[in-house]
Amino acid sequence: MSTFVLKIKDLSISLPQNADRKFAVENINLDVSKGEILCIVGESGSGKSVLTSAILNEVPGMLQITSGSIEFDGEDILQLPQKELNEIRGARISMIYQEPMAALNPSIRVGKQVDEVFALHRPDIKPDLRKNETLKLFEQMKLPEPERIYSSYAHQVSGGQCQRIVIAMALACNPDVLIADEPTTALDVTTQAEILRLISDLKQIYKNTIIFITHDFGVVTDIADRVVVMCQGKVIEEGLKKDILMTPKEPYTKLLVDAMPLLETTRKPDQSRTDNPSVEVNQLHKIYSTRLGQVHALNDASFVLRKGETLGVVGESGSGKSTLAKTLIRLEEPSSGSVSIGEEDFLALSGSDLISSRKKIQMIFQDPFGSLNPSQTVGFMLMRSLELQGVDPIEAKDRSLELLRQVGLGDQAFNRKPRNFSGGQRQRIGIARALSMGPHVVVADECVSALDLSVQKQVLLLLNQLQVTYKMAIIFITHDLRVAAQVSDYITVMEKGIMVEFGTADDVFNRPKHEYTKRLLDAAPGKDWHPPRLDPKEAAEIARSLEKKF
Amino acid sequence: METISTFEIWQTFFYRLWPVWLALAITFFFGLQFRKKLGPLGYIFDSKVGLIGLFIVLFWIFAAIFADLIALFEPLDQSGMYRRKPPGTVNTEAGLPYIFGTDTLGRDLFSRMIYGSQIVLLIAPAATLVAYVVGITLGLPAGYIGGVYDTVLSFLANLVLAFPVILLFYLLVAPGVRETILPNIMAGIFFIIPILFALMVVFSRFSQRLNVLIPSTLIILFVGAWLYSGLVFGSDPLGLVGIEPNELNIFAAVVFTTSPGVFRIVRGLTLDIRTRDYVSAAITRGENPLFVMIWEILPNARGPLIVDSCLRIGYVTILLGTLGFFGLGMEPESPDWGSMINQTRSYIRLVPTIVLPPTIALASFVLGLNLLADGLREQSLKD
Amino acid sequence: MLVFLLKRLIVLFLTLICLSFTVFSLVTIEPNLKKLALNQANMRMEEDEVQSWLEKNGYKRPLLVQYGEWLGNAVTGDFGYSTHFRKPVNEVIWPKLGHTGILMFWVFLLTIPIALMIGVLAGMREGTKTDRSLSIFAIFTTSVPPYVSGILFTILFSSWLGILKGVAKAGNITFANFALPVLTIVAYDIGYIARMTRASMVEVMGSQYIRTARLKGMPFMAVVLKHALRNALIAPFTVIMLQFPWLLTGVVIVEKLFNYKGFGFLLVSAADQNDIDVTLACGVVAVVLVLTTQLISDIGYIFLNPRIRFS
Repeated sequence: MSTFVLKIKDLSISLPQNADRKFAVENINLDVSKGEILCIVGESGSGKSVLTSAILNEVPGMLQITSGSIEFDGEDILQLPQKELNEIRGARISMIYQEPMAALNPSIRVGKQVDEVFALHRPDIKPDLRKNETLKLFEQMKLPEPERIYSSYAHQVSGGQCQRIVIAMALACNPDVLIADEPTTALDVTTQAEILRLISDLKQIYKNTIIFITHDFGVVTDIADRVVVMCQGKVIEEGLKKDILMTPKEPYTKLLVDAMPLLETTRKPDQSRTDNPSVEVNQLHKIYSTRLGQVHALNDASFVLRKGETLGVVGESGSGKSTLAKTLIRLEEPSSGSVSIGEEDFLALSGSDLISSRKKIQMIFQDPFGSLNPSQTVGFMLMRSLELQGVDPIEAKDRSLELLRQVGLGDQAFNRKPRNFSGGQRQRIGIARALSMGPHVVVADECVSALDLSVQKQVLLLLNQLQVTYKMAIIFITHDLRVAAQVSDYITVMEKGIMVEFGTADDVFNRPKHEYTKRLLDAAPGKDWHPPRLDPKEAAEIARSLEKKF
Repeated sequence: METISTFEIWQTFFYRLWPVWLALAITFFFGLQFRKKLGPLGYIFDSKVGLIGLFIVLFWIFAAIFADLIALFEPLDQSGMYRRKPPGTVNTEAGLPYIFGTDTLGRDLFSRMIYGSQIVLLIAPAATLVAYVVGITLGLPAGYIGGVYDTVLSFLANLVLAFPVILLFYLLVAPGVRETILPNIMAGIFFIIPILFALMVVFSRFSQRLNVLIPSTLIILFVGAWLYSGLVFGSDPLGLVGIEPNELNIFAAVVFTTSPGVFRIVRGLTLDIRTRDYVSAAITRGENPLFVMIWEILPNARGPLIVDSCLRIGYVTILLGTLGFFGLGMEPESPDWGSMINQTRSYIRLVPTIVLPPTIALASFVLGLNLLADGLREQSLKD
Repeated sequence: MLVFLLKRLIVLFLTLICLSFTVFSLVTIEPNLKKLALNQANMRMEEDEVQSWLEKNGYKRPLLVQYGEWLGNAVTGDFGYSTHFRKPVNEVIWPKLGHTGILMFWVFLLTIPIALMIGVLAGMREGTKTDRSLSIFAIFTTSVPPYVSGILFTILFSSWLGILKGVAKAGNITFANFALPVLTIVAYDIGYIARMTRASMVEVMGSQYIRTARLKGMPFMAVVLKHALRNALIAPFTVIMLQFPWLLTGVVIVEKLFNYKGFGFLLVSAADQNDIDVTLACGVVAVVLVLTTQLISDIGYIFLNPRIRFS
């Protein structure tokens, strides 16, 4: 008897004709051993999600399986008739998803949706006993008040709870294989840690095989037995966790591991500076009134930041960090408090004074695809910024081209529209646009969190460089502790609108005082892993050679 | 009575339409050559359905342009001898066949159908265009600024939309209404909006550059005033621009019933697009609301708006037909398709084919627009 | 939720007042009244006689006063007197509305199930042959307005095949004389609702929770029936209700086309004959019908959508 549960042989899945490459995944050979946790790691577009959807023979509409087989229990899943396939799905191989809220039907009570699995695969359980089984599962998933949750709709429970419900649904029939497609990516760090712990705990009980897809090496560190690295639809490297993480062999893997930011601080600010602050925030409050009452989204935020310094603002979703950004740049009006930029009381301005002072504080946005106007050329964006400051068109063009060079894009970018650029390049354009206004302060709101690790690293380096050149103060908002550690002089940790901790990056990371900070640091995935570093020159070398290859 | 065979009828038909075939061939040839450069419109060549739609729509556009070359008779010429004749009857005096027959006053149905396309293809797109400018000018701020302005305008739009269109037409296009100044007031309001809109477009873009702003403003004001005097007051000093009172009435009524729908769509799109980060970026660099609405939001709403405008021109064509069908507004002699249907439909028991030219013309043009819209939507979704 | 309904009711009431006032002021414009005077009193009246007739009958008072008077009467159920039929409007309008009601009943009975079925079948598997052909069929029917399809149907079924009648007699309904008007409206309406349903169905079928249900091992048809249908029908439901003004226009056209003496026919002939009180009553009844369906649509939407029901 073989110890393999799944054997994937020569699997190729083709992309539609006008795509940038021919195959979503190409000639994949992969064996999954019984009882292991296999992590499939890759950046966006590596084909890892498509691969797993093929295991259940349900590839997205435009794609087509062109060759190969997936052997499960002596039979090729890809050749099974629909009826037999349905008997395997949900019972012997089941799946959990990236966005748990969307994975549940909005108009059916969540308990009923779990009941359905019993109805489909466990005829031995009588209809009136299904609810009991579901409630038992809910308890096992550590869901509070199972009865209440059973009769709730998906929008009435939190994201973490939704994921527990989806896991309950997946484990209802104790499947041989559980496929987890980025199940924690959409969740907060602390929730992520809980779900990861739950999955490991449940594995002790259910003993199933888990195929876990992720882009996050931190998660890999915490959960994997074996790791498969994918890129451009191909398996690049495969091996035990410790081998891949500590001594990767393939250049691509080396680069990927190298791009993983360390959870160590790099900057030490000069705390004795007395020069005028670039930005001074005092007792800033923002209260939203909703139908259900008032929400104190930002509660008493105060800090001072000087030329060339970076403040990292760390927190989970709903902590008020984005509200801080929006009120600072006055996309939303704060309820009370003051913000001074340079000598000027920014909050007191209105009308044309406000419009002309807005250039002093600029923002870099999170979503590289939403932050550039798709109908404008890059040149128009930059020229318009300069034109607004009264620069004449000829000078504006020269200045725009110079800015493009500074962010590492060529002159040819000037006449192109955003859709011609990759995510990382767009983020560079976003940075150039912010800098074109000559700001004293830049607010970077999760500006690298939508990017792949390798790209993220380059953008962070660029931002660092530009800060040296332009000496602006940066308020860097992020949910990622590692990134914050890399770029910040000071760190503030936010929870429920309050800055619970403020200090130099070194103090906050190494000597946290507040309970919540400790919890956050503790929840950071892969915190005990110290990824091996490449020499920067060597890294650049590998990157160049890989660029040619793909 | 002399007749020609069915084959000869269709032979004449295809032969008379030669300018249309030529123009279609040229258009499609160049369209295919330059499809890459046409931007989003070039994608239509990838959709079979859209291509058929485009073909039908272009067919009618060219038919309207070359009507003088195509038609066999004058559209209003009556003939006592040849009344309600079946297709293929030959007028021996002129030596020309009535290839689709004649109506009850002995007018050639084929020529009337071809000339009818001129009326429909002038009024329907023009009225839709004005309705669009009105809808955009009011809808952008409603979505972007919101507040009381939005509440009031949305309420008014819903008022108009709650009327069954036919009731509204009976109230607005009745002969009694034409004796009042109401149509002129409505037209006066609708036609001033495009001028204001053009001014806002120029001002928001060039407020920093006076050397462009001042001349373009002057041009807009001058041309605007000229067109306005001709269309609303019927007193163009040059005598070039003018519109019949009954057509002005129809035009105003059609714009009035169409623009609330456009308003709603534009408002919805604006509400969606204003949450994008690039709008925030524009605000933080200190753009005024006018620039944000016209230059940041509007261009990104163009995809759905183009699709919708195709559908809406089709809908307006149906509306114009409805007006003709009820004998509202149009001149009694007018060869527009709706009126033709109304005038011929009583005789279908005698000559069933008598009603076919206008009905098929109208339905095919609307079908073409709908297919085109479907093709455009499909392609824009892929993008 | 109660607050929401109350708000809707207030807006509805306000809309009703505004619309009825608009109808009132457009029907009672000076030229119409003059014609009325000539018609009622004496065809050969001089201008000053007309003016004094108008004065005498209260048409010279401020518009708002006249409207108030009319509204006061209308609320108590008195819609005035028909100058054409020479009897109270109430005796004219309600029987006609009944005739139209029967027509609409059959139209709804046929349209909704057929349209929903077409939409669901087409949207269930996007891009298949079934989908393409059903979609093109739907586009085709929406492109042919009732005054075209009605005539074509008449030629086909009445003149040519001779199985149906081209004239529909109200009050004496048989299949032969009633099928064509119903068919004409149904043909025009099906396409629109079907396309809406298809779009909604396509969106739902592409959503993550449908994938979840499929990967649970649920057979395709069960997924469609249990998981997709309910969510996919929310949008078409509102559309069906909101397109009521449109449907009403179709009914007017068809009633005129087939000489079916219902509400639409009354509206058109009253407007043609300058029968002011009947036109007014018809206009207001039409508007009330439209607003009622809008309210039903609102309530239905809340009822169908738990996300709104529980927040």
